[in-house]
Parts: sequence; C-alpha cells; structure tokens
Amino acid sequence: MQYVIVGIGGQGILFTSKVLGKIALDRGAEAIGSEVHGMAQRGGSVVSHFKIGDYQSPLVQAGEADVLLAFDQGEGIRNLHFLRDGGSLVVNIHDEKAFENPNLLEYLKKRGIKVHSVKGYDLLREHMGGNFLFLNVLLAGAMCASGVTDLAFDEVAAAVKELSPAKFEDANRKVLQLGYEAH
Amino acid sequence: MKELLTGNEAVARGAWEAGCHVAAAYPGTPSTEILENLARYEDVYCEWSPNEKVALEVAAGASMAGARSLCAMKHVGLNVAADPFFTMAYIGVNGGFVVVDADDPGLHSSQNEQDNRWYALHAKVPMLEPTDSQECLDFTKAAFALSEKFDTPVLLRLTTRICHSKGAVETGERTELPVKDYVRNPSKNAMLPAAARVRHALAEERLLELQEYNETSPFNLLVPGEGSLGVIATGVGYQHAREALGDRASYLKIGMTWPLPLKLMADFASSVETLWVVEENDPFVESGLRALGISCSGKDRLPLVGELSPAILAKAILGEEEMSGKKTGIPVPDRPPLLCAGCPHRGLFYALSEKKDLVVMGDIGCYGLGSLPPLNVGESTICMGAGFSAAIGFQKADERAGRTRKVFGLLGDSTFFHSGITGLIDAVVNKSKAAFVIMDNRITAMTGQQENPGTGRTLGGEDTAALNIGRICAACGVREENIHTVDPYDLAASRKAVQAVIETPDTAVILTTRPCALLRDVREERAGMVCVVDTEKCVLCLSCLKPGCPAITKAEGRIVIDSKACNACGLCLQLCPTGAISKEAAGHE
Repeated sequence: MQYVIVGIGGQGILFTSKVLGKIALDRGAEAIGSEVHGMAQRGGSVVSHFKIGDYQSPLVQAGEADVLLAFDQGEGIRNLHFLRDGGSLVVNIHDEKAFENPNLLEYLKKRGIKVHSVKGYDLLREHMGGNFLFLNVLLAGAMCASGVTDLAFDEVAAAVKELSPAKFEDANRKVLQLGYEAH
Repeated sequence: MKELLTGNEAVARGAWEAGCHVAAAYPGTPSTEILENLARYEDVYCEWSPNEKVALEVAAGASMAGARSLCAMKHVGLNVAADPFFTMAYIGVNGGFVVVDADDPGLHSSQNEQDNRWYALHAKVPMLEPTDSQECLDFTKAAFALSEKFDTPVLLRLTTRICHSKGAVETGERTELPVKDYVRNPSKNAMLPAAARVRHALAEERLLELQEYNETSPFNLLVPGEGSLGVIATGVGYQHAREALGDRASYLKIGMTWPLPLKLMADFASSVETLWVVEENDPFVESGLRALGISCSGKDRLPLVGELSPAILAKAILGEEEMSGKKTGIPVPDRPPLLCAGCPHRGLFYALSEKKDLVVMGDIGCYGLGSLPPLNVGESTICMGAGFSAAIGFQKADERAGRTRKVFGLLGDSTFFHSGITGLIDAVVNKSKAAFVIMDNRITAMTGQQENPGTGRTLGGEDTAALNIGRICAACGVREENIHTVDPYDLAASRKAVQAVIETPDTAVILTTRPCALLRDVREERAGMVCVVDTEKCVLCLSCLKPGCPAITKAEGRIVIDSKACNACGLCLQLCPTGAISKEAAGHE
C-alpha cells in the first residue's frame, strides 16, 4: 500500500504518516516513508511519502500510489500523477468549481481515479470553532470511511489517541467521527 | 522493540546507546533534529553552538579529554568547521569522536549541492554512509568504536533523504561508559609543525590500515542476484536500486565509503558482466573504481544534479519508461516558500523596497525570501555571514566606480552570532560606508525555531545569558547614534531608520526587534487579533498588496483578508490611503 500525503506547510500532514506508521508497526507490517522539512514550513507545498509492505525505497514513484491524501485541493490536483490508474484521491475541498474543470474530469475518468472529497474547513468551522489544526484527524476519519484502505475506525482512533496529548483526546475522537461521517 | 524513526532520530538514538557524553551542533536542514532528539536524553550534554566550527571544536575538546563526543551539521556547515576537522584528523581521539554531516542532494533547503564525501578523502578520515534508519542507529554506534579503535575522527555522512525518511528501527539500551583518563600529550595534541609532521605520517599509515580493515568490514554487504548485472551502491541510492531492479541485479552495498574497499569492489566487478555505480551527486565511488582501471556505467548515464529515484534508475539501467502517472497539465498556482503572514521581516523589507537607489546583500535565513517578488529586496545569497562581509566589498567597488548608491548588508540574529560579528568588525575598522541590518526575530527561525545566543535559553531549555545585539554592535565600534533600533511593524519608524542610514557616511546599523510571528508566545498573544477591510471605504488602489502578505488578496473585485492567517501586524493598514483597514479582535463563528 503506497500513500502520498500532500498539503501546505503548517497543516500538520506529518501527523498522518505517524498514525499510518503506528498502525503498520502494531500490525507487524514493514513501513517506510519520507518527508521534507525546512523551507516547507513557510507555507510551501509539502509532500510526504508513506509505504506499508515490502518496499526498499522511501519514495513513491509517479503512477504507483494507491491513495493520494490531499489537505489542500490545489496540492491534490498538482500531485495526481503520483496515483496509479484506479487509485483514490481523498481531498479536502474549499472550492467545488475546481473539480468541474472538464480537463480534470477527463483525466480522472481516463485513469479511473476515484475522488472522495470532504469540505474540511466548513466542517471545522461548524463543529470545532474554526480550529483548522484538526484537519489531519478529520481527513484520517474521512479516509477511513472512504474504504480506500483497510484501516478500521477503531484502529485509527487508537493510534490518534496514543500519538496525541491527552487533553485533545475527546476533541480528536469527535473530529475523527466527524470526518468518518462526512464521507 | 521496533520503533518508526527518521534517520535523524535514529542517529540520536545510536549516539545515546553508544554512551555519547557530549554533543554540539549548529542547526541546519536536514541535520537539525539530530541534536533536538539527542537533547531529550539527560545522560548526554547537548548544546547549540554559535556556529559549526565552535560545535566541532567543543566535540573535539571533549574527545581529547576522554569523552565520547559528537557534532552535527549540514553540508555547508562542514565548510565552516573544516579548519579544526582537518587538524583533528592528525590529532585523532581519546574518547570516540563522530562528525555527522548531512548533505542536501536536490537542494531542498540549501544554497549549494556539494558532495561532502570528498572531505573524508581530503582530510584522511574514515566515512560511513547509512542507507536507512536502522543503519543510522547501527552505524552511529559503530562509528564511536571505530573512532577509538583507529584513533581517528569518523565522518558519518547522511543525505536529506536519509535524515528525513522513516523506517522501523530495532532499538537497544545505553552502554554507560566512564570518561577516559586524560594524560597530557603535546606531541599528539598540540599541532606545532614538528609534531604535525609526525602525525601526518601516522594519518597516512592509519588510512592504509583502515583500507585493509574495510575489505572485510561489517559496513559493506554483498547481495547476490539472478542476472549478470551488478550494482555498486551507496546511501539511499542502494534502496532505490533494490526497489527498481529487484533480483535482476547483484549488489555490493558500500556502507564504509572511505577508504574504499578496493579489492572487494574489484572482486565484485569481475563477478558480473555489466557494472553500474549508483550514488547521488558526484562520482565518488566511481572514481575509485575507474582508478583501478575497471570500466562501469555511472555518471555518464545518471544525473550529477539532484536526487536519484527508483524511476530514474529503472529508466537508465533497464530502459523502462515511467509508469502511467503523467501530470494533469492543469495549472495550479505554485506555492513557493514565502514570508509568513505577520512576519516581522516584511515591514523593514518594504521600507527598503521603496528606495530605488540601493543594493542589499542578503544572507541565509527566512529573510532570504525577501529577494523574491513582490519585495525584490536582496541581490545575493552566498553563505552565513556573507551578507555583511560581501556588502563591504560591494560598497568599496561601487565607490571605485563612482556609484553613489547605498549598500546594505542584511542578516538575522542567529546569523549575526554565527559569523556576522566578524564582518561588522571589519566594516568598522576599515571604515565601511555600508549599512548593516540585523533582523532580530529572537529565534533561529528558518530551521524550525532553535535557541541562539540572543534568546536567553539553552538547547535543554535552561535560562541563560541573552546577548544584547545592540551592545555588541556598539562594542564592535559602531557609534551609538548610528545604531537604529526599530519595531518593523512600525512602517514610519522603519522608513526613518532606512533614511537615516542612507544619509550617514559612517558605518551604521539597523536592528529590528519584533519576534518571529510563529513563536508560541507570539501566536498566543496575537491569537485574537486580525485586520479587516471596510469595503465601503476601500478604493481598490491595491497599495495593501504591495508587501506581498499571503493573508491579503484581491478576490472577486474586493480586498479580502484571511482571518485564519492574519495576526494584525498592521503593515497593510499603514499603507491604506483611505483608512479602509482596521484592527479588531477576531471572533470564532
């Protein structure tokens, strides 16, 4: 299983690969991944690679990702080439019009890419007082519900709990559920 | 027990397990997290040093006194620390001494792509190159023992992709070792010429012993495959090759890349029909192979520039085309790194950008981003400290050419302590007419908020002396009336300071005082603050967009401020001619 996780510096995307890694190790699976620090902190594009199974290279190659998890729709569209034919895009959208672009629709159709979208900002505004730092947990819930992985809700919830400060336990659980039901 | 660790985390763990006593570093991507992680173990004394040369010397002194010691730095940091590094190769060690170097193929966050493996050859020290996180831990531990066995510093060479990749690592426990006895030994430790001549000869002998050792060392691995294709690989290139070529190739992984195991390489070469060398950046291993008269494919077919990947190797070695993943061709706005919303650098940059006839020599740090549009302030980025020193030379050249514009040198607080002070001393003593800007945002920001000598805290979080930059400038001989301390959120004050230093022919300083907008205290303090636009008053003159704040945009015919990003620094407000922008406390919906 190969994941590419993309977004913008400051969105907390590295947390998602920590969750995936924790679950993989608990299952006794091999896991490897790569991320980029540094300049990415300044609002730049961030790409994180994560592979579970028998792999050597920490990088996912173009056309090989099973799942593209996009914290930002623009970054999702920019990185679609990572997906294999028939792969899945799980994406936080803020402007549905971008996904009405005929060229994009044709690209997705031709390659058999399935799109699972969540209006993350709207949901967090409505339910979490606009605290967008919960986006990573929200998207983990949405990805779980989309069925594009074999991750079980309880498994993800347990990993999120263990990797987060105790004071966020209730809020994280609520947001994970929110993401799960949003799909 | 197995844990998922980055290469940097694994190096820190390995150093702790090896009983390391003293560690020092200057932050620099991709190496920064090594000391941040090592500092979490109380058994190891850890410090941020003002620069890499100091870090290496601290570790060298600790080694001499009998402690196991480590220093860490990014590739260009080893240029700064090269002076003690070369001589420590003659002196050798008492306690094990490991120099961790993190190169940056692909220039993710650096000003050059130098391949520091040549430093091992040049300084005559052994070098280890791990290929994954597990080897980062294992090789770090082994490096201390190797250092003591052969009485030599050991260079542990990483790359960005090793530092920042994660893998499962089997961790162990710490072996607590006493600090060894120190016995005075000037013929070994005091490198006066007579002693150094002797030590040089010993270093040459040591290299021969190390080469013999490396022929059967545990760092190299032979992996037989099915075909007649052979690959000699190092670093992450080995992992890429394994994934791209699988069992179709046999592999010789070289984990100790200096001195090279020449016989091992020659034997492997003779066992295969086609030989490739897979390594990032320079043909380092390949040069060793070619010097033996062995022909191979390497940098004639693989890129010298940038990182390798499985796809690059599959295409070059197997002739396989890329997978189905073609780009969409749909335009998406690029997201280059930029100064954050509320960044305190922006105000003074804007004041500088308004002046047409000046030149600003830049430096390494977030403020390097000021050279990008729309601010376009900054002519050059060379290395730490060059913002000041190069400005001195630029101004002298301008003067000789009869050009009268003002020349500025610009750098940040951490860079000032790193190597800006010497430039400022040069400016004063040699009567420079340039102006020197220190953007003091109270933190080493670009690498992710590390303490520096101005912040008043150590790496371990203890309170300590906070050096006063203004007083240092005065002590360097800048006259008090030529030191202009400004809050860069105050545009009028920033403009006034810029004008004042333009008008004086003396060496002058502008010191900004506003802390980084990303600091936790600053974010908490300004959490409720935001600027808002009154669209009735707004005349769409777009003055507010000129400083390039990412929180303010024109969308659907009006000016919009993103309340998520804005921290009410108020720069846009000061540029608005109609008073359409105001500050208010943000309310969550």
